[in-house]
Amino acid sequence: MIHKQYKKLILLSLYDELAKSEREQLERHLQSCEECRAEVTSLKGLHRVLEHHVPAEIPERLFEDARRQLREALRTGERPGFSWMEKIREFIWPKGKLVFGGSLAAALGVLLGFFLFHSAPPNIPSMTVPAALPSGNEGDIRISNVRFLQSNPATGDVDFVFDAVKSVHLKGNIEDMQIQKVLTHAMLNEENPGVRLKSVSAMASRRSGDVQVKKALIAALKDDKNAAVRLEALRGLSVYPYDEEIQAAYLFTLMHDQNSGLRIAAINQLDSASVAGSGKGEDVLKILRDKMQHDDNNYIRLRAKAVVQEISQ
Amino acid sequence: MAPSDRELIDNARKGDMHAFEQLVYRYDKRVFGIAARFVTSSDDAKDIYQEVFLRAYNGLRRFEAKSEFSTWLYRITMNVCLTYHSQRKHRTRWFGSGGSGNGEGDEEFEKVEAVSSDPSPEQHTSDREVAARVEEALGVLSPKQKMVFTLRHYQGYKLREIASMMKCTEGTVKRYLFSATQRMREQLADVLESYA
Repeated sequence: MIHKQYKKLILLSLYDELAKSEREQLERHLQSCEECRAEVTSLKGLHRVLEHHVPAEIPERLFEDARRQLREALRTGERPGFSWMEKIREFIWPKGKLVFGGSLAAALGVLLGFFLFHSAPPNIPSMTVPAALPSGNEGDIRISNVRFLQSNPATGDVDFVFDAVKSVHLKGNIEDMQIQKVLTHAMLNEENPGVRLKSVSAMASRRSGDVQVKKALIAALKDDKNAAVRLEALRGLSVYPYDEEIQAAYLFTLMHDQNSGLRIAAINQLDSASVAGSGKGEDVLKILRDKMQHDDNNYIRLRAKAVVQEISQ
Repeated sequence: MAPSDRELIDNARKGDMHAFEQLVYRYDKRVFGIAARFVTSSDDAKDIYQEVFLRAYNGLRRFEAKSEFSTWLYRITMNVCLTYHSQRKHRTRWFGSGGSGNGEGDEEFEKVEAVSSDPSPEQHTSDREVAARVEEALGVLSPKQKMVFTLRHYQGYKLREIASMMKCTEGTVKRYLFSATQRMREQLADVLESYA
């Protein structure tokens, strides 16, 4: 074996990647080869420099950001037949009512009322301007973001899309399905956190709710950037019978939410569930034990310990 | 008992998002770790992280369990990192931006830290300088050299694991490791001298 090959073995030996026979062969060679011994010293020097500067721990907040963004992408991305969030969207926006095509995506929130309460032709591309705007109400509609697709100066034909925004006044009871649709949408998509909070609060005040709203509340609890909205969503979930999905959402909050108030609220919900005879699974205990030892917040550590003791009794 | 990857994959395929989340949380620190060693900014690492899991999510139905889920996931990670690198290079070339081409709000990673528990200010400065030189040297490696080197040296993967992720032979991985080490040595020659 030539020096070059031994030098490769030396590098591999530093990474503990040699077979026993190779290691023995190398050791024998090193006893008699000064050049290769110098190579060992040189490589160890390199490793000392590299190991002296280890990769820093990745800050937890970066993970939280990355996870939140991923959940958001999964929630909003096109995943046919996969995501339950898709089903929520489907529930809120039946395909037959998707008027204004591409423009709709941009103007989704504001056009909600208009589409919910006006029947509209299902295919946008062929829509003409007079059909797109309700007659006599043009003054109520704000047009923006006009994008020309084609225009022919010779014939005067134009083809374009635009965002049409219309305010809709809606009054009714929170148990009304139409109202729930609008508020569920606002809860998940509205930019303004105050509006999201009011929407969640309104939904949380219901006496009962259906499964889609529950899923939307879980999504808000996990994903909303605003802690007050997440807290309201958590409160809203208490209306529902305790089940695995809700338990998973509480556990998620307890494990990942940076806000200690939210973690305390989640642990309280888990505690209530265990008192009522639910939520005593091994998953729950494992996470509570972890929290009891590692949570930054002293109160949460104590609460986790108390709940573990309760569950274990 | 915690569900196996297989169970989680089956449930995720049926549309159970919680199962997919569990899979994500099982492996995402390693994915992020690989990405973080490969790029220079947190935004880039987050982009890679997201792309990896979106690809995994979309490809879950096609995952045939011929390899471990983790190997499959890390292979995706590697592909995304390498693709990301070439796109970045392309963009940098076209728009002529300097450095890593980071946008506003993009945060440079605090990628290395001094091992010394209580360094003097001089020691700290010197450590940071050396750390910067190491980063610089890593930046000189080809994408595959860098990938192999960081996976082996910083992440502790065995060469056969890296070969499995890269879908190549262990010999090829060794070649990348040798050439990467050689280049690192050349780049850090003066630092090594001062450490000798």
